[in-house]
Amino acid sequence: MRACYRTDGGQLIHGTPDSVCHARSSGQVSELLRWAQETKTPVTCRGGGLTTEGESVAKRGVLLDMKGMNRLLECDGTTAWVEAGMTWHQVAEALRPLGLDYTSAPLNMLSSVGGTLGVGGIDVNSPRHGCSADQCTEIEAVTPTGAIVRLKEGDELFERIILGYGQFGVITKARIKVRAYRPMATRYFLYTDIGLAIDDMMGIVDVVDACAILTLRDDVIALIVGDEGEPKPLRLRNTSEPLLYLKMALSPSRWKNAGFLMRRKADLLPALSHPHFVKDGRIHDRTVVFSRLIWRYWGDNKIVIPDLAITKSNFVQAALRGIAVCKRFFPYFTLYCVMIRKFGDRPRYEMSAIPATGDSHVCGIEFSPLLEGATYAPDHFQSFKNAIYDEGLKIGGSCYRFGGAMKPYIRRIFGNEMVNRHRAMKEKLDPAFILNPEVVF
Amino acid sequence: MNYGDCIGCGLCTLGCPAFEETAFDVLTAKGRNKALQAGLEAEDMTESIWACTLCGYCDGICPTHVKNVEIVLKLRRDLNGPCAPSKPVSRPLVLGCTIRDRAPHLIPSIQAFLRKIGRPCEIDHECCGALDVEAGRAMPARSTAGVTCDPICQVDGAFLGELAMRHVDLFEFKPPFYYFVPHRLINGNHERFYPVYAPLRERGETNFDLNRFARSTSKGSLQGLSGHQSRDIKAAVERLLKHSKAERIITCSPADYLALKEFSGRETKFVTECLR
Repeated sequence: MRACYRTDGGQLIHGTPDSVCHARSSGQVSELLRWAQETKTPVTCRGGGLTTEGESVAKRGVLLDMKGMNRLLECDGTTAWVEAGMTWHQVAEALRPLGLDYTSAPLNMLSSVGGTLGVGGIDVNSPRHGCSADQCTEIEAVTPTGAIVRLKEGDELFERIILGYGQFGVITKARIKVRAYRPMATRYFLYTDIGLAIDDMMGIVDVVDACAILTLRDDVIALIVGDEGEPKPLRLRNTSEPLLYLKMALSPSRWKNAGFLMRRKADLLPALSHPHFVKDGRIHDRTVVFSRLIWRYWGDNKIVIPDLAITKSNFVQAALRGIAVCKRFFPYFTLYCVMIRKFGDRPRYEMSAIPATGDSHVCGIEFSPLLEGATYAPDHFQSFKNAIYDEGLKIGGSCYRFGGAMKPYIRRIFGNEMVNRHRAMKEKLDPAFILNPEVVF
Repeated sequence: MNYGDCIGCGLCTLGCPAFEETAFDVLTAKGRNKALQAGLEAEDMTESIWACTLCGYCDGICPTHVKNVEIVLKLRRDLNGPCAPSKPVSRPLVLGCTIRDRAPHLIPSIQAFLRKIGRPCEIDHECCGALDVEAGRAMPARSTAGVTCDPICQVDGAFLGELAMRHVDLFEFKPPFYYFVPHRLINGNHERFYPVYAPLRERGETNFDLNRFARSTSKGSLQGLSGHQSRDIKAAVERLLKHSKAERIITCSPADYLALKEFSGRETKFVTECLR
């Protein structure tokens, strides 16, 4: 049984826990953590198990599997009170018969609510609604010493646990904002210049319902725009598709890439316009579609997604620097560029993936190699991730996945003062240092 | 067995009856594949092997095309030791043992429908061997038939429920209804069967999930008939119908017809009972 938990979504980090605890109630989580404090036994939390840096992999101690807490407990039409082991897919399934939808969830809907609230959660709704963690208004959590507490937005411990990387408590229940379910029409605009595409996205972020940039290498850059209502006219500087392919055809050195791009396009577009999900030009259950696409077209035997979290002023520069790194390490890669609405300076943003800025939005870029069945040594992947983060640091950026295998970067990103302050808070709340002990500190 | 292709995404868990009931990853395709990748063998995972109801949700949704049902059947055979192929047979109409032994009252309406559309309706009483295959006591050997009434049967032929959808005007589905689509067929051959049943989503409720795959009643034929390692079918039916406002349930899946009739508390009809 323990062998099933030996790795996470990234499949790079392996470890087998001494035992697995499958929680069904907050009381059981509390009992486990009290015992763990007494015996100084490490406890590693796991929801969807979709971390990429081994954050949900336990090499010793107890692995706390939260998937048994997966019920929608109540819904008043504007918020839903859910158990934190629910995956976002389960949330969507439970809300849909009520004509409702979550407000913002991670693109990968197999993530659990609790895990997501601990790190962020970004998808196509984030430009308008912010990250998933900002959709939460109340939680029930179990502190590292086993106290079951109910916390509301603004409470000090709430602000520490949300975006707290699982250091300050285990989220067992959460109240998340919900809204009426609306299918989405999508449009895409092609570019050959990432700078232009990013500039255009920054220009429309307040106008459209959803937007993101997805690239295949830096040869084809697609600005994807989602509209829940009538599509609005947009003034963009995109390139026409025939012109894009003509440019490639005229450059023999790019023919190999062109072949790859054509193959990917032939795979992707039918999946995005599959009649099972598209009706009257609108994608129904869009996040289900996107979530499945992630695994079908980006999933591989290793999933490596270093990312940078930066301010608007550094968005283009971060993309260009990251692309240069990608080209050094892999023949094929993709970028996923998003903007995330920020709500002032909430305490939870401190030491998180949301960079400090007065801007209305922050920006994120994921750099994903497309392995195409090729195998690489683990060191190659680690060097790639390091190189991306190094570039981010040079321009004052943060990153989303800073725990686990990327932990050595934490002090470089956030500085000693902030890390020491958070560590002191952790020591106070978790005297035996048992909760997710090797993830951040 | 291509369990090595499993990337651990967990899509297979979304509609897995064993996962819905227990929330244990270890009882799902993902759990078995990860265990096999770690070097475990059939003897090390008997609970997981027998927890599977062979509904095929995992096969349909898997992004890397892992053949999870085949893997479970192989592991069951590994537990049982060497076995012979099941006997291939060719027959005009295969009722299946669920209808033959447990719901014979459906036979006249089935025959009436088949007569109306000019299909063979001579009853055959020979066993197709599906339960031996599911129990790991026999290798699969596909047989052929003119018409087959049960998706569990190891028989290739026109499926009764599919024929009903193609002649849907012959039936009266009085709204508000819930049509329980045959999940094994939908999930096992999605491209062929989803379009056949998809129009029902416009007319009533169905057991399709957001992924457009079909949820099951947890009624694994083998477990259901033997009682061994049986899932909690009553709870599964309650989950399926939790938000349903339908007054009646219609299905073309014989085992699920029995499960829904027993546990739904609503009028439940086999599709041919709705013949005009």
